Amino acid sequence: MNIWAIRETKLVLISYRPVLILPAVALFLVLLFVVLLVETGYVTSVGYDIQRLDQTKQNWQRDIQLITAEIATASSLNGVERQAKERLKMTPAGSFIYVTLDHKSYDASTAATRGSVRNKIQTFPSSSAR
Amino acid sequence: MKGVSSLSGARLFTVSLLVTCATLAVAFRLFHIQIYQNKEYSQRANAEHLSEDVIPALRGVIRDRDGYPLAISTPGYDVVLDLNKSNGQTLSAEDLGTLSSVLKIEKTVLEARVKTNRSNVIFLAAAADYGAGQRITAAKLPGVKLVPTIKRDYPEGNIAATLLGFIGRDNVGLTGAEAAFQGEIGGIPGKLYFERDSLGDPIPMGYRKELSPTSGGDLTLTIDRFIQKVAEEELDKSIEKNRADGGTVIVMDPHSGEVLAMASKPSFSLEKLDILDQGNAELYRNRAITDLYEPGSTFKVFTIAAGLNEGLITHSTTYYDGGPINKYGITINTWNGAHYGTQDMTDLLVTSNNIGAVWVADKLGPDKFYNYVMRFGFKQPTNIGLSGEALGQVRTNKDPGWSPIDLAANSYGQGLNATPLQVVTAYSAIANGGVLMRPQIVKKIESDGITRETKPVEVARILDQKIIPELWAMMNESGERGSPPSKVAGFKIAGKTGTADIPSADGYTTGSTIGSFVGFIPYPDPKAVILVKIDNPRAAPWGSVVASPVFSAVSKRLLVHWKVQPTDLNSLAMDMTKRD
Repeated sequence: MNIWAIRETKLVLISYRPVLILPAVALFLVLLFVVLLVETGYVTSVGYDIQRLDQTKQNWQRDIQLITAEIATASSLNGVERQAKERLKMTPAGSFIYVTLDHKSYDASTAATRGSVRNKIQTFPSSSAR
Repeated sequence: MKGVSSLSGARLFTVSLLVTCATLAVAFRLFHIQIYQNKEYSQRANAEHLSEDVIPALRGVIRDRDGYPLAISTPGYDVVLDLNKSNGQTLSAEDLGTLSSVLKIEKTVLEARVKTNRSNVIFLAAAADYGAGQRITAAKLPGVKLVPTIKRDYPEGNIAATLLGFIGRDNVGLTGAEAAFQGEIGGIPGKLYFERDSLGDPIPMGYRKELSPTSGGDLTLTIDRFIQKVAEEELDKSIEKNRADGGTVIVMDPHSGEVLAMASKPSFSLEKLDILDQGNAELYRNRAITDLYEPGSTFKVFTIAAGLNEGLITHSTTYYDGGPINKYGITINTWNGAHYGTQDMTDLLVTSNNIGAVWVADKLGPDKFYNYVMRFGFKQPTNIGLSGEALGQVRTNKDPGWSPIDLAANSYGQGLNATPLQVVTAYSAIANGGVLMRPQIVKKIESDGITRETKPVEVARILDQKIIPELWAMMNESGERGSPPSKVAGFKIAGKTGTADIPSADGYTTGSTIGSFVGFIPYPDPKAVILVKIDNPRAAPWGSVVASPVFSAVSKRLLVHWKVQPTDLNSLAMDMTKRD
């Protein structure tokens, strides 16, 4: 009998022993847990991404609200008045002068460039009229 | 032996039975706890390790008629001091100074809040703005915690404070439009369930479930921010000049019933509101709809309107004013003691003659007179949609306790009361050609992509269109020939002054009055009806002196704002000459 043949027979015998099933099961379980771990890791990572995106969305919404409030304040009557006074150096109109324009002599081209003059009346702040 | 064996068999059986019974009892108890009482124990367990937070809903925006925001929600923070999280450290004087400068609260107030509170969680400030929150976070103050909340901002400042109202710490409207339209603009708060640690903080990877909040709808009011500002500015000036207790200005579009401005003073600051201060409670109500007053001579217009509509009088009908009259034991005199002999109906209004008003009411009789009073909307809600609206008191001839002297007094606006909103609405009916419109404060509500617009509501035709030009002309004479006249350079106006005593438990208070003026601009093409009411002016008691100038000032600014062409060039020229 060839020594190799004896070894082969032993190997075959050993492979059928129940004790070999345990490492196989253990290996399977290890692989299973690795797969589960990878999957859990992936799910956790996706969950984290969702949470992060949710937070980003909330931050954007917060920024939108803050900017909306800022725009509202800037376009408020007080805001416009402040800008007119401080940046444009305007002063409140104290009185008004009504000017009646003569339609016949009124140049149509001037009208086109200056905009329509409704009902022959224009109002000017006293400061600019004087 | 058999006996022994049988005995031990019985014992064994007994023991087995006992063990079985005990096992069954345990199994039954387990079943009871785990299956039958599952819900209760689950809740108890969840309460132990789960916690829930309310996620505030974003409250809707309140806008003016042109879409400019009057009240807007922004993210903010409630600031609390949590001693459980301060690692034994206390806030130093320097920390309190930092908080004081960031929160704009006196350091002593913060100190008091920290010292007087016995709880481990101390509330320091409500609804601090987002920037303040960022600065507090950066300062890393021991135990100071920020709780996200919604802050209400007012881009236009304090205008329309009593009309807008305010919200409480729970984000629910407490007064004004904020309370009246809570259902539309409040939204539905969300909830966050999370697993917590022993300190109550969320466990980072623990159980977490969020029910998102639903944002509130946007509310667009009928008021115009510019007109509201003008009304408040002119009212404030008059209150200060006349050393008055307060006042009201309402501007209404007579054709739609839309309220363009509703200002009432005294008021409160929306930006520096402290709802915990009980002393401010008096300032919160919207006096334009909650407070009743005797309209006084402004009511004579309704008496004359009823007489004209019934065909009993015309503008030139005359009566004789021969001095004080005695009605059922009560002497009725003119407001200034002057008597005019034979006088027509126009002069009755111009001189605001009480005796003439009584004469017209007598011609009408109580049935017709009170029929008109009710049809003009007195003693009933206007249904404007704001909470707290008063009905007013009018004792008609159908009510117990009425006497003919009531008819006489009511004809010139005494012995009955109404809200400023009721009076301006009734005047609007005259300016609208005799048709009473329901007053409107809401222009539209936008929620979930659906827009609900408010349409003008015609309540009833009160006066025949035919008598309107005559009535308007009489009101124009009354306004412009009054003493002193109410004038707006370049325009004609129509209106009536009123001066009423303030009723008390035993008659009328002495030395205090309510001066008012109600009218429309411009005559004869009304664009707005304006009511001005000044409470207890000390500089002069008369409506013509204290309220009429406010009417003129508001009218002038509105007509320029609307770019209305002047029609009365003579008065304009005179005004310009006077200024030069």
